[in-house]
Amino acid sequence: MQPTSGEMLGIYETMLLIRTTELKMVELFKKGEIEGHMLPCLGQEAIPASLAKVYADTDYLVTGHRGGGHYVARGCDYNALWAELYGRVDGVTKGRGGQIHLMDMTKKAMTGNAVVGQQWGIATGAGFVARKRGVMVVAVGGEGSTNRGVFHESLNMAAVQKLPILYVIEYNDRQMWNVCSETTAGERIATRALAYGMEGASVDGNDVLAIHAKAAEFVRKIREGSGPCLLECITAKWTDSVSNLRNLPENVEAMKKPDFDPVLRFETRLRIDGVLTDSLDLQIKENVRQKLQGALSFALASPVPDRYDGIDEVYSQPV
Amino acid sequence: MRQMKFVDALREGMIEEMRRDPDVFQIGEAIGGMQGGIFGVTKGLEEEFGKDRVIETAISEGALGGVAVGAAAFGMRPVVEIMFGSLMTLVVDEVHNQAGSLYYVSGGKIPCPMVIRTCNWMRIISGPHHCGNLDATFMNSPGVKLVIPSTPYDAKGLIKASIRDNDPVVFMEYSPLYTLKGDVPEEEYIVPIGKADIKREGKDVTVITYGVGVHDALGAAEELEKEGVSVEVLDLRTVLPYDKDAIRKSVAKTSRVVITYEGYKTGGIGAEIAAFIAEECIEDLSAPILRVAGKDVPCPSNRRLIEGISIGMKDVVDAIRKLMA
Repeated sequence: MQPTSGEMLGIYETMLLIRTTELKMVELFKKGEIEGHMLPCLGQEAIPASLAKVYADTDYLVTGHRGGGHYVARGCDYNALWAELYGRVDGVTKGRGGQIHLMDMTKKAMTGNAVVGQQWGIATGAGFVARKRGVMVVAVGGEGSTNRGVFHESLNMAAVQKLPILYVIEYNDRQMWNVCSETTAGERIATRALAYGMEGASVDGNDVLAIHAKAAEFVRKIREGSGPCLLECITAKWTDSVSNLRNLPENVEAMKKPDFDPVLRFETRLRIDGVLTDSLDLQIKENVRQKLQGALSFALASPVPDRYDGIDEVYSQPV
Repeated sequence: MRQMKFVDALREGMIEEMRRDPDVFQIGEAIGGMQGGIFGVTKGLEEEFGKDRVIETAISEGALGGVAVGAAAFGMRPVVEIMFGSLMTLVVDEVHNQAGSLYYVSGGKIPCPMVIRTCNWMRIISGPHHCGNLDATFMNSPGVKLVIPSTPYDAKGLIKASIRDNDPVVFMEYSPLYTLKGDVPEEEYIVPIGKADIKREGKDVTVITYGVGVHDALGAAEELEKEGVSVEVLDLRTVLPYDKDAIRKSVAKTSRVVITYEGYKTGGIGAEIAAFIAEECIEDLSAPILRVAGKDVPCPSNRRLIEGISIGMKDVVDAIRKLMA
């Protein structure tokens, strides 16, 4: 079922918020205002924004690298995201995990894991809980993570157990600077679903409506008890990590080509369909601007942690 | 007092916790059916709790470790069986990087209440891939608790504590102990994590140990009593975080220390304990600290060769005699 006009505008606003967030993160990193390891999801915004309109608030979300977009799309604490990037005490993990360990369990979102592929096993564990609680799991990772053994182990286990999990692959064709033709056998990741007797599909991962339609279909089947499904979204990431920005041009405007930029593409689509008007667009962009400004102010007002903060929080039950 | 085998006491502890909390579940390779795992620890559990709570899996240790972390993070209490301790290498990332860091790195917001049970069996002919010892690996894992019982009583009390604990626990069982019988009360009890136990009081020398080593130490103590040497046996029970107060107290009393453990000597548990004593109790010592531990050799598939690398009661006796000379 196609999203309503209101839902589409919501997806568009989420995509813009992700884009704005990630660009600001890159800008502040370059200026040296924030530091650490960060993995932008620039170019992949359609996937988190579309999925967030498909899964329910009660469902669980588990991602690996490049989870920042999913964190934002899920509606996790946005102010705490910026405090985290600034390494402040009001960060969502008190400034400990940084951008690659974003997690907001008030939203059932483990949207960071820095060991590529480990999210598959963790998501599968969440699947056992989801089965018991009557909800489902959305598990996300790049195509690079599907070459880890744990991907196979997890999908096999989930299929045998008929766990309610939607496995989503963000196929951006890059593992560092390696491309799939050098590293990955087979044309598509989705065909691996056949091996587990589960349904799989590849969609254009820069096309909001294509992602939304297939994800909604799979989610409905999973809720009906089909067991896990595998959705491959073919996209492109604009850059690897903030410390390796060589492939991100100084002028991001250059990236805004309709077949390459999911945000511009969706904006164009919404305008053609008469869903997005100039005044609505201005209002949405103002919403995003204000949200970012508010979060930046919040982050900068938050104290830096004491250097010994957390050394007594290694165990939840000290002995 | 009721007498029970170690394996039965351990199982009873898990059954009690599964009855008490519907979020506790078992998962592992061939843990169901009538046999219940290669050592029969989970025997009969599937019959009582069903396939949704006693979950059979493929040979997929990596996924099992991940499943434990994910299930724990989202609110259940998984108990995973990894068939042999030497296979714990296959879940080091899940235990050390994922489970061990989760509570801290989430800003103290996501506890990880999981138990990974496994079995060390170094005194059997099964080669290096089945008979290794990874105890020390998990002693070097902040955020993880390493629990190793030596008696039926402790096995039951500690598995119950481990399942209720909100932090990840690696629970090492030593296979020679499964058939050991001992006192296990009918009424419910818990053995707290982090507390050592004096298994035998003595005044001349302390043997610090855990797991199967406790029984070598107790045997040595009995032997040496005939020679007028009084041996105290300190069973760590929890290896990480270990009971520093108990060690300080015993060392202050006896002034001599032997540390015995089945794992590899170099960089093993004994290295940490000896370093701790050197740092904090050196003025109490009247003799060097001795370690009685496995040789730094992969375990061979040959009874005669195993004799050459493993340790037992006699080695503990020899070490104590050396200290008392």
